[in-house]
Amino acid sequence: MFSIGILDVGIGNIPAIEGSYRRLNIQTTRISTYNQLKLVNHLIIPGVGNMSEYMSRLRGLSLDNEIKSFSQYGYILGICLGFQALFEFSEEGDTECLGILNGHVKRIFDISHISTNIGFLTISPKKILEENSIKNQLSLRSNNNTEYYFTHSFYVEDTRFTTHLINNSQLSNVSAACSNFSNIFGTQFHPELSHSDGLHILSSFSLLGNQ
Amino acid sequence: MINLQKSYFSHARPRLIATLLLRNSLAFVSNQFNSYEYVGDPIVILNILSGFMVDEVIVIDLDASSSGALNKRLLQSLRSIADYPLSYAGGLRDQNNIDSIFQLGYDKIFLSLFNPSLNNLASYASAKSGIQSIALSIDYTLTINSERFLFNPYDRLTKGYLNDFPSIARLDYFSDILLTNTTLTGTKTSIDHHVLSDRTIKAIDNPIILSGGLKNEGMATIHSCALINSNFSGIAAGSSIFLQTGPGSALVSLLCHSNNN
Repeated sequence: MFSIGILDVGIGNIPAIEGSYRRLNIQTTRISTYNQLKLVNHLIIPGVGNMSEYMSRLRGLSLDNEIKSFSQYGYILGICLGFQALFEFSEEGDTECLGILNGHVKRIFDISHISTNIGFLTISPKKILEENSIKNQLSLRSNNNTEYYFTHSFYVEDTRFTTHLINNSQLSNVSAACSNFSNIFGTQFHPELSHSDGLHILSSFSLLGNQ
Repeated sequence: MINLQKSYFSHARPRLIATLLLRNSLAFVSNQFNSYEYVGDPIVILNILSGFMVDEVIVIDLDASSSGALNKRLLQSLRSIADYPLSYAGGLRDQNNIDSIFQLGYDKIFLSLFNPSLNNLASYASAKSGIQSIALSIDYTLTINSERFLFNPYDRLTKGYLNDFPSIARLDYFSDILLTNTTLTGTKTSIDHHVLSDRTIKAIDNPIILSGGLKNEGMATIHSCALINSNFSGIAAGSSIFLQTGPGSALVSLLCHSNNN
């Protein structure tokens, strides 16, 4: 039976993701060693945390290079902090991140009058994307009926990997979701906290490579 | 149907947040923190709130506030059924308790302005879990002369003027600031949206949540708040207002409509 791996470095909102997959009747496994990582094809890097602390713990477990190797063949979904960790560098503690995707993580206060962007927001695809195309493998919904829950003080600037942007003029340059259009995905928002619309994304991720 | 236009707001639309007050593992609502009324089983209430697609829930454990001991079994059960953001307040006096809350899967903690280790705990927690996960809770009273004083509902003492709070708390350690008007809590008269025009409140960069006194007034108040202060980010109310008003009421219509548009 296949299982979704959830990276466990001691911080990050793992129980909420486990709860979501429990509702979907999909098994999950916590991953904190290389041997555990070898047993899964799908890895979620969860959110909630400070980047400096998160990367320090990841390196302490010698999992940073192993995740980079995993990214060559496995499916990865980064959520919030886990999404930001996929990029090269974060201004949060001036931290070098995994560098699986090119781009920097910046402080949201530098583009906004507020220190933290919190709440439910709609998202818009970049023009190069077609809804329901293979480039949108997580089936992210970008319409007025679908909102996703964001809570972040740092953000990924619009990059060539950006598939969706936040649909708000104040935050128009903020990536809502990114992908390498193959096996690496990330969402700035929390699908596990976004009601049924979020469950749809987690379900779609679990089906990648299994259809 | 009430229409909540998102373009009206500079950031996300304001959140409608339910507070779940726990005593002896049961849910209560407070009236000015003087008396408490039993509402029901907290697990049942969370399930109902999930059906209303509430934006967030803040779990406040009054027993933990006095004893410092977390009710981990109940908190774990609540987390397992909520598919929305869940925050926690109560008894967070040391690092171990804060770590436990995040390990249970809670997304955010609220630290009281009156916590004697406030800045040390906030520094520790924000360095570990990020400032988006740390919120500040400020209780205050409103006098008939419209003066606002910091107020600790547990020892029932005032602690100076409300706008002294930036000299007490290091605001860069926090995301949300929850302003609770304890004079209005549970009265269902009207929230104190005038506090948003206070010069100190307008000067801070944190998202602001108002609590205390919300009645079934819906959109007019929310639009007023957004106009007064662009950092206004949400309204919190006791779970009973969501339950008692029921489907079809203005507040619930607002919730459902804003989550379906």
